[in-house]
Amino acid sequence: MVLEKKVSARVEAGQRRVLDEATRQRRLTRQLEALEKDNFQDDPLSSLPPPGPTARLPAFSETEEPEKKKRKTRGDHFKQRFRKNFTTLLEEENLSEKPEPNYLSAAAPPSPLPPRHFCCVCGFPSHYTCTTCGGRYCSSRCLCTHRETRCLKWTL
Amino acid sequence: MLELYDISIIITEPYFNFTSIQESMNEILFEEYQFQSALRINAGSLSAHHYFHSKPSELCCLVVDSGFSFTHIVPYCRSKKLKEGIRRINVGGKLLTNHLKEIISYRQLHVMDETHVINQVKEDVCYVSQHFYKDMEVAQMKGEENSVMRDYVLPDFSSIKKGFCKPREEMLFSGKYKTGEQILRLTNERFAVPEMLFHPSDIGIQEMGIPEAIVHSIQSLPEDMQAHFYQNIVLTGGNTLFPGFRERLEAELRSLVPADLPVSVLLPANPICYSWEGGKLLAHNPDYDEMVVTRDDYEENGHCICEENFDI
Repeated sequence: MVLEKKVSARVEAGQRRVLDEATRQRRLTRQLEALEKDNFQDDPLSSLPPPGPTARLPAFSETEEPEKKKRKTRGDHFKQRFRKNFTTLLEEENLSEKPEPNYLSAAAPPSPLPPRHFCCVCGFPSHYTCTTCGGRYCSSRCLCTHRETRCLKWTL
Repeated sequence: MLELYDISIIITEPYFNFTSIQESMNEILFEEYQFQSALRINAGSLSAHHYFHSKPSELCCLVVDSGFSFTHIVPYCRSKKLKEGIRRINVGGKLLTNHLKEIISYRQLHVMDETHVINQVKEDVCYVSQHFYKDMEVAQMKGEENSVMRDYVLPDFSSIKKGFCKPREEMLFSGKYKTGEQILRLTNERFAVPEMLFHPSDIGIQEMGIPEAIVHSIQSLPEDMQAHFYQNIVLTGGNTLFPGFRERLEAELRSLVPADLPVSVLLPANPICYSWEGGKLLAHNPDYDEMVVTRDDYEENGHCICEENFDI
């Protein structure tokens, strides 16, 4: 039986690039913004009949086809015409000149409690930080996975 | 065919909605659809109306509306919202589903394009844990001792139209499944995803969670009213349907609130439709006709009459 040599996660000093705090913050903001994106995808479950007693009602199949086509063209039309996204609308509101309370003042403040950290690979509570990118990990096996897959894979 | 010309409509909007969007709404309702009259109102105001209708002795209530885009915590006193107490947490169902998609795509299977399927996974399998770290320990165990782990069968749209969670009796704890179905094995994701409602700092969002925001909101109000708000907290919105949400919220509030103040959290039978039912009650209210703006009013006066009448 061949024993596999455990791959050491330690690397030579100077071989790895260490990201500074500003870059780490930028990466984090990028990830958070990606979480906020709308997903305008078709619902594969929408063609299923709804559960419960309404399933026995007759389906209005004749009127559905022209409605669907109308909805699609309308949606694209709106997207092309009204290209202002949320940040533009927010700036246009000029809320700094409006009296409080307003949209900005209603935002919940940061929590006074310290944040909890979770391993970016497996999701369990983590105790260690990747020296290069700042991602958290819980064990050396997760660190290896992290180094191979995600660490510095897309650079800012 | 429905004639909109004679119909009155109640339509809800988010709190502090932008003026440009409010004006567009006015145009759509009166110029494009030409409703007889319209009422634009916050969803929470309808929920508060429903609550005060079902409990006429109470004067204050706190509406927690946790929906798709964000969560709002709004105190209401005598059917009027207290604007200085409104708190918005930018965590909603959209964020939870997007986060679940990301972690499943990284750990198991690429599902970034399957928003609706993963949304269904979230609704079927996720729950709010009452003891977070204890559940984390259980989720790390191997084999049958791991009572948290569940297998979810993904739809393939030919034989399996809709995904479902495999019952525990059919789960195989070692080895692979013989059938050709695609399976997601979920352990800590089940309760770590809804945890973001209670601790947005878990993924790096610098905001308070729902319990802390409730306390922050109530503490900004006059002291003599605070006890009344703690006793009348109403949960609305889809995210409150996670199993264990109400109990966890009550426990967290109990630890944050001074011991002499009683805390009572109400989860209605249908949190998603609670505000709609409030709208139904409002439409039958004798004061309704004074609250709406009619088409003629709008044609005469324009946007300013809507701005005066509607308190968004």
